[in-house]
Amino acid sequence: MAETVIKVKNLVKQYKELTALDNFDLEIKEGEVFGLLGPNGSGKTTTINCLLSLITYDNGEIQIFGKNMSGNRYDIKAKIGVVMQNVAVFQELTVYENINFFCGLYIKDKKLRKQYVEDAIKFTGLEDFKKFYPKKLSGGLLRRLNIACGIAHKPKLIILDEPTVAVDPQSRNKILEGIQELNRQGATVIYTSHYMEEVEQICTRIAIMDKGKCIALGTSEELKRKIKNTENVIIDIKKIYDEHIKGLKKLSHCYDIQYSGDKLTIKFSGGKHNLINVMNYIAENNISYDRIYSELPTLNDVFLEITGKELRDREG
Amino acid sequence: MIRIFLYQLKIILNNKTIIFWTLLFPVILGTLFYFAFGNLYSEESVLKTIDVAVVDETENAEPYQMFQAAAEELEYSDGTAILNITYTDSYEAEALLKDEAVTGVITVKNNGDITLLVKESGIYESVLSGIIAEYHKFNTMINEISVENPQALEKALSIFYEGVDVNVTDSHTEGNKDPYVTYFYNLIAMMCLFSSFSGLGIVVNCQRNQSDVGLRVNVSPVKTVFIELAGIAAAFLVQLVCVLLGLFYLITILGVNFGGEIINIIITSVLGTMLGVSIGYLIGHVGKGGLNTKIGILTGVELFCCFLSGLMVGNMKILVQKHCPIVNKINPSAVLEDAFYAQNIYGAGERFYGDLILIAVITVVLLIVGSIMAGRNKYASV
Repeated sequence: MAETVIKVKNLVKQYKELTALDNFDLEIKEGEVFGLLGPNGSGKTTTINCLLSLITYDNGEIQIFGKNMSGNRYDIKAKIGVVMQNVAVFQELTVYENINFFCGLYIKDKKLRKQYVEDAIKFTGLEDFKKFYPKKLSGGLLRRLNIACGIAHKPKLIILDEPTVAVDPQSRNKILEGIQELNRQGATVIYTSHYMEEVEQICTRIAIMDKGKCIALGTSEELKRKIKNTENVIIDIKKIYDEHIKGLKKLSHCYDIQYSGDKLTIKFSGGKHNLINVMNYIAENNISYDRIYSELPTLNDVFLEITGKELRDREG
Repeated sequence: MIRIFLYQLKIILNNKTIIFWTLLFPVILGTLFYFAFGNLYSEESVLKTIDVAVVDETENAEPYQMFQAAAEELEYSDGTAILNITYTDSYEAEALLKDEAVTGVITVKNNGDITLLVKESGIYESVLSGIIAEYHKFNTMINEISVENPQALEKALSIFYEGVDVNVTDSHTEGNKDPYVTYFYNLIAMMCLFSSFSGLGIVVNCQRNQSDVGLRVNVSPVKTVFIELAGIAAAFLVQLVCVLLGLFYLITILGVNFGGEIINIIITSVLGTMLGVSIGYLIGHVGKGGLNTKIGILTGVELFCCFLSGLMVGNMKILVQKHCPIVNKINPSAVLEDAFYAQNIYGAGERFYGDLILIAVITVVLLIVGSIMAGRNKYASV
């Protein structure tokens, strides 16, 4: 059985009136790519800051590698690599020097460090930019440098806090592939993001956060099974009459219909032939359309169903 | 630690903004000073004849004539007259002083008393003050001689003239009393105080609530205090080299005669640079905010200190000394400026060493307070 790398119990963090973390619990096992998913302000970064003892918390307990975490637990810090949301490098040092400087805070042996730095450069594809200063790098390359500085010392636990914000799709894919490779090499990964697709793509387990609480936890499939929605049939259509919407709503297993931007989304809960049923209805009523297709629910649907409706609406 | 120190050196040396403001800007400013004061600045200008207005308020002309005779005889050792006298009434004398046509107004009172009115403080005002003080001292003696031994009067007067001359030209040191050299001393003081920006940069790069790099440094297994210490040492070294290079340029390339002993100037520069770095260290640890906010605060604080020390308004230091003298003892800018002034005018004496001790004490206090603030910030909320 895999060892527990991180254990958080009843974590509470209060900023005056705002409760950033509300009795938050978390357990991450060795070898996982664990996703912390939530909208801005849901408490993801606060969780990371508490884990790293960058801020104090009001209540709760944090254990990393089986030891209580605190600001002066340098033995624990030595095993962690952090890639923060913002690029944190020295503008006055080259790519190589930046990675070497930060790696040197963890690795004292010069020969070993040199090897690690080269590995990190190769891993992030920065071989051609070793002597470049950060201001000469594109946004995507800067992000890669940021990652290289965080993982060069080959940590056992890697925490990535929204590392793909404002990154082009090509660099984003490279970063995501890199994270999966790090995991294959043995690192446990915590990945925070508000991009559902990214989390779904790389995370073995996901915690959905809202208002400082973990509102859902499980694998992508487990989370999807927790919601009512099982299939969406989408029709690209210029115009639809109310009587037809009412008719579609009467189809078996259909529980909701939304029409916006020339797109009709018919939501089903269960049922096996929903797309055929919809197509039959359209043919019988001689409705003209551009395109029709079926989609399985994504984490976006999970999040919308759990937070968007049940929590946010109540707030409003 | 050495590796971090070397990297911090590299970071500071590659920071073009810091190098510009701490080395190139003062060098450019010094060059501009040199050419702007080119006609005025020379060693000979020490012997400049001082324009004064003399007002007669006596009923009995004897004291006035006596002063007149004495004043007109005063000359420097090379034969240049010390005073260029305009005899006038008090109304016109004040107007001349206001228009800066004269350096001072000397009024001879009825009882033989002599008063001096000056507009500001400076080397020539000090010379005038010295002459009046000397005259007062000898006046009594001359009065006595004229009554008891009139034959010795001429000899007594010649002693007086000689005495004043010695007082002016051979005062306390071989220092340069040229008022324009003060601008170059202030330039060196400014370079020292600019070290604060390097100190500030180091702290901001080590504090997790002030910069992204600081955040990364704080999650590492190295104690932040070691990284800060290495950074402070690197900042001090780079800034000191900048100050010494600036001094070298002013002395050897421009040929500025600083007057004072070079070793005293270097000692003051070393302590002044450490003082500058420690100011940056403290400001870096006070409150939150990023580098730009802190630069704004630091600039404001230093400008205020310079204002109080008279680097912007000539009489401010005297006003502060008169109304709140303690400020001149705790204002880093005032103490540093006074140390340079003291070593030039009075040499390595009590005043100079007192200033050096004050600089050292202020530096230590700033570093201690900064460290306390650092400890308080350590686990505060981001």
